[in-house]
Amino acid sequence: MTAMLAKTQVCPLHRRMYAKLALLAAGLALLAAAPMFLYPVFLMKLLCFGLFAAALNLVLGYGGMVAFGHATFFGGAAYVTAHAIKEWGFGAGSGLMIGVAFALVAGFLMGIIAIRRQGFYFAMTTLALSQMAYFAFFQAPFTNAEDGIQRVPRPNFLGFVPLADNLALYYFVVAVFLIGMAVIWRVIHSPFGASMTAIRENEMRTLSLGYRVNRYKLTVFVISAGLSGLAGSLKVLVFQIATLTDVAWQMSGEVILMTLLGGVGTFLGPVIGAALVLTIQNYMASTSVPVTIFIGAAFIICVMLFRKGIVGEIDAFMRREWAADSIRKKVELQ
Amino acid sequence: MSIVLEARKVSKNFGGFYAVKNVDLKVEKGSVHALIGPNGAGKTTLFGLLTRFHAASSGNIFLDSENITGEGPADVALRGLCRSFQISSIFPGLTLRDNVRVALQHRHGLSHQFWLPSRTLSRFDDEADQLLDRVGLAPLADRLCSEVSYGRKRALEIATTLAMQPKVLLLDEPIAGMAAGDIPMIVELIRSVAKDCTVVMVEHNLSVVERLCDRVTVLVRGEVMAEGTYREIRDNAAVRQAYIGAGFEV
Repeated sequence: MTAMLAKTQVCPLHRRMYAKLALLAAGLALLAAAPMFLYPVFLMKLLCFGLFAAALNLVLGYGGMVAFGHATFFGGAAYVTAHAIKEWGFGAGSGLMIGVAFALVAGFLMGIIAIRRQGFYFAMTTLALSQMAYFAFFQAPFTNAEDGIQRVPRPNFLGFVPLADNLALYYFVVAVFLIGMAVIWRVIHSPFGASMTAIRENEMRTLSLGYRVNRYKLTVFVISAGLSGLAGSLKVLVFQIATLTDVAWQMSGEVILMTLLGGVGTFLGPVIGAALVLTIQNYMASTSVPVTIFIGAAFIICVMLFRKGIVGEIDAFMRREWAADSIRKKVELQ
Repeated sequence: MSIVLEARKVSKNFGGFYAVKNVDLKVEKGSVHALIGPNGAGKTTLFGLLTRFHAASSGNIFLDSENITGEGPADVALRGLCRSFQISSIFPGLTLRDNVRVALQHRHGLSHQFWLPSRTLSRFDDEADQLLDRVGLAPLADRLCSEVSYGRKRALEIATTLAMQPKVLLLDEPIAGMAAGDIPMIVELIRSVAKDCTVVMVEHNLSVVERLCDRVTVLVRGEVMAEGTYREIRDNAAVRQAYIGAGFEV
């Protein structure tokens, strides 16, 4: 009887896998159908910032490093992509790639300096370096200073995907977003991800076990920078403009806020956080109250009531339920 | 017997204060060597110098006759000089098995691959379970570290360090803060570990030192006061005066 009962039970691990697959299917269906209900450009902006926040989360949530200079990769890649497409005649794909390449190099240069310090000093080093990058972009002739690079064309992707059409561009952005998220998923759920978790949990201990900790930190920093660059380059295709706003320190702060609101160290949290902040910005902009008041209020509520962020709290609740369920099943079997 | 670990005239100066001063230390291969001394004698600092967590102000450190003074802590660990910490140092958010696996995946060169799925690490489960079994923790392999007692955390720390297959194992106060009932288990564990590798331990419990250690070095105010067998150290009047206190009988 016990054996029969055991066979009919679905093991908690499988239940969790089914739940994740159902969530994935629902998410994909939602992404496919969303342009029918919402303005595609708003959705594309949301996906770009969602990817940007998820990329930062690799460093912030999984690496345990508060990086305050990711605007350099996001905005810098946007400038490079915009210039490459507009002035050098690059296609959409190659434009994205050169933007990512820039972000990878910039990430390596910033990372190799910043990772030598921890905590507050790491954050301030990234901020200082990103401010230096900001003034470099401000002075560089190709960025047109405060005017930015405007009217960037949207070339066809692979010669036949018409990115000039908003709906076609939306599905292109969805595809790039999914590729970016898949890379993040792989990095988190890999031997390297396990190493990063160990480093975040106890850096001294990993050092005593022979881990050259700075190499791991640098690797995750560079991957995060590359994905931030991908998000920035994608944004150029959507808005056809690259400006100083994207490389300013406020952008670095805003993406940290998105990540915190959604849930640091969760896979989907930063995307949800980005959606929340952009929705507040979008729908509250028309009111007489400054939008920063609403965002600030949302942040204070988050810090006071659910410090793990929206997805972090849901995740913790689900884990508690699964654990309780698992104990109940064991008791029943006994 | 050959010397596996040696410190020559090693000093550590913190802004004019010498925590360790001109220390000479020779650890024989296969031995259990104790570092004892009153609080503030520089024992833990010397551990930090030997494992390169602290940079020496002067002097040299040799492992298997190779000078490792300029190397980093990770390099030294990879050479087989592995340490535990004075306060139990584990990965609290991971299960016991995953704690050991952190060391195993690195030893097997599978810690940097971000393109492989996590399930590739399951190949280390059997080895991790064997190591946990060795320290009596196999039944708790799936439990989170934060859920087990302090004594078990210390045992886990030793199991994780053993996963590195150390040549020399440095244990910093392995029974400090333990419940009396857990001490015999750790003592037996250290005795068992010492069959495969050299052990250097900082310990205040002299009965444990007497039972386990072949050689004892006494540090006082950062300097070596005496060295010898436990019996020689016990009978040394200067050591008793400085470390145990005048009029105290061991």
